[in-house]
Amino acid sequence: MNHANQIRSRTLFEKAQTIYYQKNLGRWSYFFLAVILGCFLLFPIFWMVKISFSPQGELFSMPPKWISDSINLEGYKAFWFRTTFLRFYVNSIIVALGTVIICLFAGILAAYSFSCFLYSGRNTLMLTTLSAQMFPWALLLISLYIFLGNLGLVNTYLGLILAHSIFALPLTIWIIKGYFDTVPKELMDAAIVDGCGPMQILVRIIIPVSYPGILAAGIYVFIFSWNDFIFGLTLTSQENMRTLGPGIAMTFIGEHAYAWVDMMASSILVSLPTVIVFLLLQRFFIEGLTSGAVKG
Amino acid sequence: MLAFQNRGVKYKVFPYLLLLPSFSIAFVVLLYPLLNGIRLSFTEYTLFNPKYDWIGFRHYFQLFKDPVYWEIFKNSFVIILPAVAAQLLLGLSTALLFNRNFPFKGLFRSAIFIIWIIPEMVVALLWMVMFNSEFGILNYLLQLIGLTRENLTWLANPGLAKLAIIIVYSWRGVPFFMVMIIAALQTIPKDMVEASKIDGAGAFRRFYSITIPYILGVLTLCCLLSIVRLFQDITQIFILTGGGPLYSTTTFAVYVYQNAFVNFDMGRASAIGITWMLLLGVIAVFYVRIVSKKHIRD
Repeated sequence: MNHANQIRSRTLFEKAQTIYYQKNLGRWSYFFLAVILGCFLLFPIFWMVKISFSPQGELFSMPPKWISDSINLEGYKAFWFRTTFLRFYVNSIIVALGTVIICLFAGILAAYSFSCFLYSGRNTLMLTTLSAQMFPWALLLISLYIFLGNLGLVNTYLGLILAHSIFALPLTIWIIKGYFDTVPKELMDAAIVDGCGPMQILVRIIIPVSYPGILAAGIYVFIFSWNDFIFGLTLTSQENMRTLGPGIAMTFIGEHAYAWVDMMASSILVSLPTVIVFLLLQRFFIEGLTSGAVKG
Repeated sequence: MLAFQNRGVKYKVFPYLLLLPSFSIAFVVLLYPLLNGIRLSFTEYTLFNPKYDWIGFRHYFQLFKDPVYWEIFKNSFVIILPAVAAQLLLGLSTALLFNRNFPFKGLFRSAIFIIWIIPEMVVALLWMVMFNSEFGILNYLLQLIGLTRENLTWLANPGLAKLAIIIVYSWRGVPFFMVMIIAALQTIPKDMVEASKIDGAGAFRRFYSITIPYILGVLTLCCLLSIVRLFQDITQIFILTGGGPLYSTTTFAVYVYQNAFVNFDMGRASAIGITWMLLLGVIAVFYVRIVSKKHIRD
């Protein structure tokens, strides 16, 4: 009897062991698949980083050197010592922050209206906001350029901020609305009974509860504005008003002999702020990005 | 939610006031440029002769007779549709892998997502280095695996330039499809998968009968969003090929931009933009229908 039990428990143990190993084997085989996939997808980025640190002539050596002989920081130094680049950086920061402030202000109010009130034309207005993304930007840019020119807003921060805002606003409203929709009704009911007005409810209850959504929207707007190239290129003609994207691209593309190392180093310095913002706040950002589409 | 209605509190004007900031920006920067764009397309407006002289449909007739216009029409689809298909395929397989558990999963996901975070202009510059015909690493790798013997001139050959843009677009879009599909995969009920396993459904059967129906909505949404986004893209083509060689990589957006801001022919550019908008309008109708089905229930 005891003996039979022992055998049974041993076979059970062995079974558990094989399942455990299989599972672990599975985990590690998925890991290796991910490594292969990662190498494949991330190779261009690795290569950009590698070139940015390598000596000028090494790019042309065949076969290519996978790891540089020596580290060369000239590209990064060149970025900081060309004074215009610093100016581009400051311009980008001003425009991006301005766009974030305008989009969040207008977006929170609009999302509150869509999420918490019932009125005629609400659905139509909501769908209008959504379809705003679809209008050809290049087409709008033509009249925007003429219009801002007439107002004297070409080559100003305000012109760029307005342009960025309108193209980032639709998704901002939808991300924030998605979070406002999930605020528990009881919280608001209690506040209404206590005699809170609609603005008080927004500021005291809804905004504090749904800050992850507002954060997600803010990151989205910041990245959108920072990464812009075409609006900055078109709506500024003076070099000292250029933002980073067009500023850097035009500097390097205009030159006769391409300074590849400097170009890659500058590209990395342009990307760095968005990558850092993303890595710090990625939980909110990815949640905000996917919540609207997957819900329901 | 709609808490105010449930308590019998009625606000007639207030919700409209809340929309005022957004819609006043939209009026200045969206509605006015749109209406003015329609008007421009019927005029001979150029940067050097900025007058709204009415010429009727002449721009449109000229466009439809112009073989270049039809090549751009064709290019837009020949470049964008394969790119979206590749994004879908790569994104879906990546998402299926990331739906499993393995060590350092979060790290891999963040790293891959960086592809979608860096500016488009950086994407273009870095692929310019990859594609370079003299020292580009891509040519070296292709020769290493024996696909080609000599250096390919990626950005100077019409066919290869198209392929190059498709490669860049596909690469750039993978992370977006990946995170959206991962999120959709997580909504599949676990017990349903378990039940189908007990009923003897194989991996393929489960994929077709459970996974695909559950994520189909998100897949369609991602594809539509991606199509719209690629139709809007000027930056990557502008930097990589400038639309050339011989218009082979010029899409609608690039063509409008070139006509307006290189040739300064705003009237003609607007007419091209309007035809493009009507085309995208069809796609937009599908998009709005899908989203409104999901979101508007009250």
